[in-house]
Amino acid sequence: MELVRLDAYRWSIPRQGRMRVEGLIFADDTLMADIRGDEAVKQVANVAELPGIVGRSIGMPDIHWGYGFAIGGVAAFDPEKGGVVSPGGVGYDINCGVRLLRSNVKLEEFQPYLSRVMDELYHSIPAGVGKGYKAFVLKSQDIRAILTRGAAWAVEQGFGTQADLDHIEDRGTIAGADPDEVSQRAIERGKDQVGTVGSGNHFVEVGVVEEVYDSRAAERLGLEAGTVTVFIHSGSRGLGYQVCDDYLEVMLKAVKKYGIELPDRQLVCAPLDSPEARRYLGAMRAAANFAFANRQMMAHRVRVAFQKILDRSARELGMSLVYDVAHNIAKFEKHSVEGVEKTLCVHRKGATRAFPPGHPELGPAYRDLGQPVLIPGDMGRYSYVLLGTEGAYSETFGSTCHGAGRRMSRHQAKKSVRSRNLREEFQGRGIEVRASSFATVAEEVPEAYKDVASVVEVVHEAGIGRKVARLRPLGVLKG
Amino acid sequence: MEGRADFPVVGVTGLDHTADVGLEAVAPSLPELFRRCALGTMWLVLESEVRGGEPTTRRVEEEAEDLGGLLRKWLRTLLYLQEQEGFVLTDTKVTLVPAPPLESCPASCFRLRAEVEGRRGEWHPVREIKGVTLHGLEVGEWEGGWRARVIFDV
Repeated sequence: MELVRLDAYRWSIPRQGRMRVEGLIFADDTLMADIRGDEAVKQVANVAELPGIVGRSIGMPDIHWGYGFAIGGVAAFDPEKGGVVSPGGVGYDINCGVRLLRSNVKLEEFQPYLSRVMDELYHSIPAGVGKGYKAFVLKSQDIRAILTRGAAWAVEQGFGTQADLDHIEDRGTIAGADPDEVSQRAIERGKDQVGTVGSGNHFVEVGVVEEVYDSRAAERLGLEAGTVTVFIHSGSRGLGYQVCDDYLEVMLKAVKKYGIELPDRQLVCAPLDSPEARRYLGAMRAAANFAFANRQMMAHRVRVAFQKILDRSARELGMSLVYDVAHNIAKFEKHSVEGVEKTLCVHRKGATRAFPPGHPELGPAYRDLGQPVLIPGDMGRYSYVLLGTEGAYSETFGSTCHGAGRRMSRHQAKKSVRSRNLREEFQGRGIEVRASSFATVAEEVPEAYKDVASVVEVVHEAGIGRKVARLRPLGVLKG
Repeated sequence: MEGRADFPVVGVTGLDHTADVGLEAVAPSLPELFRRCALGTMWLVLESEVRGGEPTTRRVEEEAEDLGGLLRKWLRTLLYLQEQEGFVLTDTKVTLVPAPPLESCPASCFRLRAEVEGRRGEWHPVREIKGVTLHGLEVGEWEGGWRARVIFDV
């Protein structure tokens, strides 16, 4: 696949074959060497073949091989030009996303309590394969409410505050959700999983603000150097996975019905004005709301854990929500295409919204500042907080990267750590790990991922995100 | 995709994928291929032999328009049973027949019937399989027998 370097951080995939638009990948030389090592470039080109795609098929610097869409891919489709929606462009884990809590607690004060806090988190937040929360199983009347109202439902049940909602993408409730389009099997899978982490690369991470790059922005976000933070990374659990699965079957039939030819079956899709698309979008939004509620409930349990161990209220600890953002989603947004404002269906699969200062969809808390962007790294190094920019809005449909991006398969990762004592290694780095399975930890070791610092540097230098602060992990809870 | 010969299931190897996991199975017949894919999938979830639990059997029936779709539905059902009912397959007898066109399946269809032996219990899966993807999904004749390739989202 031909790639043309445009500048230090941009590579073009010229239109070739059946591509309707160009591809654009953000990367420096080192990251591009990794990116070329798997099928990600081809997948960016494949997405460019889909009907109604506008602008470019985009790959973020953390891009890696996915199924259909690469992970780290962004694409926008125009309903007026036969644009489509594709469940593969959202992913199985609908609204997998990240939430960041800040605090007033200084590291020196917190360090003696770290181990006990991690123990408390391990006991109070279910983490692990299929792990549900048997003490909290949704009743039928709750299910409809959670799928329609998302984080707002959780706050109404006493899990958090109204102020939290002001700091969540779409206030934690995506309009247009249709619980009737969510199958009973999806509900069965998700009904005891609200407030649970899951497994794989999901986590709850206690950290510290290690470096501030923009002191004014950091102050607005409540991120003071040396203060303790908590990252939560999880999504829609079994409910979302099943919604994706159900609609892949629907879309398999739809591509035949609408005569859509595909380079990869995982790109199955339907025209945005079709009944199949409307059904999927209704179900997807419902699953997205489930994920917002999931993270809201976990945040509540984090606050309770800190309160218990530090013997002060969450308010006294200053444990407020910085932001919560999705990185697997499809949304209708207004963007300029060749100078004309259009409503497009933007797919972000392993990519984060990054709206600039002044954007009307940002709540009052951050409208003048720009949208916070939360970029977790691997479990051994660091994570970042950025802000959205005009550059992102004009070049990438208001999108940026979502994390470090894998560079090694799970099997390779496990093989590389076979003779190592991971628990001791992390302790040696000052990181307390709690995990229901160290097999998962082996698959998630730092060397399995690209260096997130490089990813963020590309994003910052290319102008599609602006660095605010870097966080360092102190303790990680994994499934 | 590179294959690896580290599966304790005859005829099944793992496939390396950056973000996900997969398997490739070969078998002399199509029913045996579906059996081996099922055993390989359970291995990916548990990575251990199934011991303990209560022996029990289930009957599974699926239909799809092509063999790839049928394999996907078969594995999805087994994964659902494992996740929701704690039922883990230990062996199975699979019958596959071409089915006459049905209203729900207007093209030529394939039908699977399987008697599934397994155990119900509390297990400790090492891996959560979110879905059986369509990416690279293949079922076809190969060197006098059959071959399948499946990638799972984890």
